Amino acid sequence: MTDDLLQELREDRGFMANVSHWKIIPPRSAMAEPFPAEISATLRTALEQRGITRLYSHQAEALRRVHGGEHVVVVTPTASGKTLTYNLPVLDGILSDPDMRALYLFPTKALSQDQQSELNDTITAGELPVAAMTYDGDTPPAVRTSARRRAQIVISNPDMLHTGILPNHTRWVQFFQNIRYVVIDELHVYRGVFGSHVANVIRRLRRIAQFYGSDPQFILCSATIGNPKELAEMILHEPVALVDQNGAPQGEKHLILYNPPLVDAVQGIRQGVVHAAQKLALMLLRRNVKTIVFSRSRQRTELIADYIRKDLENRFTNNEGIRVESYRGGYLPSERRAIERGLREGTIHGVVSTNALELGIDIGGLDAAILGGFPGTVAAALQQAGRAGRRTSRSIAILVASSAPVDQYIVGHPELFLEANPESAWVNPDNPYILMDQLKCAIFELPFREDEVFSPMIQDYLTILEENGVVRITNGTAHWSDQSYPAEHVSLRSAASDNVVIIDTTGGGSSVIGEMDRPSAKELLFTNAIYIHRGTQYVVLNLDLKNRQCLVQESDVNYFTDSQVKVDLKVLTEDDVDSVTAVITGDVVVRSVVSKFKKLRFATHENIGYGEIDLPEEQMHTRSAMLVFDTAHPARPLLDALPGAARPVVLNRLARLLREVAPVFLMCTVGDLGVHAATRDPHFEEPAIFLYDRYPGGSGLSESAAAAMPMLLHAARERVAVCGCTSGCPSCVGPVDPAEGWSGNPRQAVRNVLDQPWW
Amino acid sequence: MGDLYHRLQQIKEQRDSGTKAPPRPRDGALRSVSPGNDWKLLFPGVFQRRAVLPLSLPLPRECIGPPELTKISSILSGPHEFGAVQPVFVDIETTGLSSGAGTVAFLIGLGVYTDAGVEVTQLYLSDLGAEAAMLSRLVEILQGYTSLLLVSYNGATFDIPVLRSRAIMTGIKLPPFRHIDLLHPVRRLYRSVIGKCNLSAVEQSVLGLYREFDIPSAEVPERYLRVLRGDDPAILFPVVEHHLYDIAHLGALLSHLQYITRAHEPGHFPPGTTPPDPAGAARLFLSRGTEAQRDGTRRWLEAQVVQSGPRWQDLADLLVPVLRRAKKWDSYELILNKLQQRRGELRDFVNLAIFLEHRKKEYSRALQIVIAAANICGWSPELIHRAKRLRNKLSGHARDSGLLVQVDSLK
Repeated sequence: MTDDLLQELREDRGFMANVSHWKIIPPRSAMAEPFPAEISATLRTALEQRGITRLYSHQAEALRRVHGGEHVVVVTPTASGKTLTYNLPVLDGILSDPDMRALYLFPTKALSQDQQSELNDTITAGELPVAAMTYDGDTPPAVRTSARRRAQIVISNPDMLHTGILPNHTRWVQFFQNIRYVVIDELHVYRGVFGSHVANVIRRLRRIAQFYGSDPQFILCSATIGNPKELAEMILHEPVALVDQNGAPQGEKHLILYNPPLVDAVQGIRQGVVHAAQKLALMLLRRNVKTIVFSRSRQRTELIADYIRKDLENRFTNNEGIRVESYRGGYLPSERRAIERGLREGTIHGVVSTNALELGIDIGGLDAAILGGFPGTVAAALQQAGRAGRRTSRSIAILVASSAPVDQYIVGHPELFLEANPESAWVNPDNPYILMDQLKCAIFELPFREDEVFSPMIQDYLTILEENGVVRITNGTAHWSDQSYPAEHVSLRSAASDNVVIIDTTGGGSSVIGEMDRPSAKELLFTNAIYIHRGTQYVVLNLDLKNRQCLVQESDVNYFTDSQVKVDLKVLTEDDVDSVTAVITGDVVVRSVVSKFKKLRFATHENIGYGEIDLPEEQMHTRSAMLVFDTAHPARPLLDALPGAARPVVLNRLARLLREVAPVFLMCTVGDLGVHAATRDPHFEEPAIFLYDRYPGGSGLSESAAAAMPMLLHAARERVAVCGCTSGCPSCVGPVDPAEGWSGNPRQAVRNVLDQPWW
Repeated sequence: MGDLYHRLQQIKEQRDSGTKAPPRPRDGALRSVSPGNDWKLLFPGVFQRRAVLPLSLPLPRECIGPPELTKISSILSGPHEFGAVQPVFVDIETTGLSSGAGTVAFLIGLGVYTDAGVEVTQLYLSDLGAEAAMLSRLVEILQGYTSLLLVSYNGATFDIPVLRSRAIMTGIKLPPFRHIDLLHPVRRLYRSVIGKCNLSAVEQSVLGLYREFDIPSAEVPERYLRVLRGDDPAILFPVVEHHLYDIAHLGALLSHLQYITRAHEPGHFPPGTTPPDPAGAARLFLSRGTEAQRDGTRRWLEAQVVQSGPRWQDLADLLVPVLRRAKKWDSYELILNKLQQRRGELRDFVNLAIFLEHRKKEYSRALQIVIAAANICGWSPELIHRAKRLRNKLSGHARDSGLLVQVDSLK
């Protein structure tokens, strides 16, 4: 990234007209201290071989705390030497006591591989007598046996710990008797459903360790989130020390907020993110700047990559010598590894990705990151921006705002992105569905004493398990009494166990091109849907949910599809009422059905037709935050003042707007929350708005939504107040829709209801 | 999923109303329900039964294991040298077919030879909480034997690891023991003769034994779990009988294997039994037999190959490395020549060429063989390399011996 290019950008009026903020973070030099004396000379020599002669201040601080016996969570940006914060105490410990064992957990296999090679480099550089081995689904059986016996550091993932290691702990006796450290990297990933499961896997891990007389110390690493210490403590159920003063050097960084021009000021329609991101990426790529583009959805990832490639298409110049790939979940692992390698080795110059590349997978140094829309959470935005400039060189990150309310809210509040003030992450380890599944696994692993501290109300769960005959309780101890192997049926990542396999049948063939979870498949892979995979367009011939397969065929129609979901909600309990906002939290059952889809033309995205979808409805018990406008509610007169036809429109649009701004305050994506509005809810017999957790049983989101409701309402009010449109646009309450049966001004109507803060 | 939700609510309401105790029978006591009349209660939840089953095999009396210590054929014990041991047959039935810490052995059986046949001791766990007591009893029994050798069928991958795992789970220390798994030698000897080698197939096809009561192994866990949940223990009758016969027949199988592995060569097994696959037997004898058995097997193989007996080519493949290791070069050359002429695969040419080049230094003949191979199979990189080296050697040889050299003529 040269001065010339930055200068050129600054002088480009067309570009600068859309730049709402440009922040330069100056380079920072290292804060370092010498190795503490207690580190063994062998290890120090090994590190010196790799050019590490001193410790950054946060590494030294973490080491002091670990040696002081505390659990530690280290919060560090990318490329700040976080791996050393745990490798140092672990390697040093093994060198002084070869019997010592450590477990490293990474959320993906790719990250495990990265760590394995990083450790190998240190071990070979110093000829250290340390065995570090990866133990995951890809490990061959012969290596597994030796890993169980010989590995001092076992590198794995929570899923393998859950299905492979814990249920077979009797083969790991030596390991569990000697386990001293557990390292959990990328802690921020363990939130919501995944985090709630992992918190229980950690409960199980500690239970087993205790059985063998061990009590391991935890070293955790997290990207920047609002509450790393709190999250760590929710997952460990114990106090954790926070180390967050980064001592690593950082190159100069340019953060730019780019708000694409209004195409239609009246309707508030801006140039689309896809086109803006594509244009910016092309500009950078053609100047030899290695660029990553993040996009909000799998579909957009394919679109942007495809548009960029089309622009570069030129057989005489070999596409201008620039290679651009798309990257997202649903690709085969081998495809992903090839793209990662291409990026590292420099044979691929640009990549368009979903958040799949947000995690610390090593793809080498990139110079620029373009965020095609606010990625849902501020923490994710910072991580994506951090993908550029891993080295000490200068880098640039551009957030391209979409018309979505949350994006426009960020444009209005740039400090959220520029000043690093991310949201809090939450887990709900006591979600009844998660807890029940995890309890089964725990009992399978070790008979469960009724008085064990695992989770509140655990006796009720034992009662149900005994009723179902899967446990037998004698003398206060529950024994597993079923043939099954429960971990096999419990996926830590929601619904991953009933994934739909996508099969390409073009030309009579049948090759698996990817897979997708069942609820997403209902919305994206319904029969006649257009599905785009690595730039190739397919039409869905048949979605067979029973056999979990989806047959597709290549297609060349000029449109893509977008499904519409219809939701019905019933209140089951009212558990808690917020004393300030009167927001109720409780249990609900949500029934949803995907019944229709739109056909949207490529490039213009104009609607060119509808189609029917015939799929069974989904039913789910979950938690919800409920905003009830009873007769005493201050906003009730405002609602009553509206014409009858306007009431559902206003409630629906307000509900959607609340959901849209939620990601700024709650650590979730828009997709994690469902909304529903009723002019007369059958349970309350009053108008009501529901924000419900889209994970069965709830993952903690509805409780945080209830607590954050004043902020959500405030942000919603601000959106409708400052929006540049006249009667509603995608950036606030959505454009006028004649299908709603009311011809008034929805923006004005919602604005009226929110005019006087009643929260 | 909704069911869980509603049930939790119900339980909560019942508890909150305080009127009713939780609805489940929390008696807390171990259930001691016998699986049959002939079982004796040892501890709460643990039963034991003893039975003696005759060994009805048409074998000479001295071949049926004596009750006293036995010498196990090295063909069965592998590289271990055991000396005289007390074979104890072991088999378990479990609550699940997966391994893993939640799979419990609810039936453990041990068998020993007696004058009358095989005496079987079965331990039955009638409630899961009594596992430690059952395992203590197992330890007690095992400690009663000197020179203990556990003999199992597929125990290396299932029964023994499960027992070890249960001992760890209950904190019971197993005494040290040695173990042989009869599955491996049986597979070598009979797989190509009888196909699938599960114990009941081997009983029928090899030993000629039949059972009165049987049940597919896959149904065993379900029956036990049903009884645990309160079903009539009578449904366990076929399970405990199946288990009893498994152990007795293990005794019969060991006797049979001991008997036939006394042979000095694989071709002459005692009459009246299903003959094993000679190639499999030869391989077993060569890898695990005594010195006399290895010599006998080599001579038998040579005779078979020279006489072009049944499957002589397969037997020749076994023989070739043996002769090479034993440096029996005359026989070796004979066999290689026969293979090259009668079978004529690429490897036969190559083996012969290697032998001629490196052992006999007959470069010219070796080159002829290489060229002949290339005529049949085409010039592979390996053959090209080999021919080139032989030509170099030939020219060097000629130079050294002062003969006229015209190297290029050969190229």
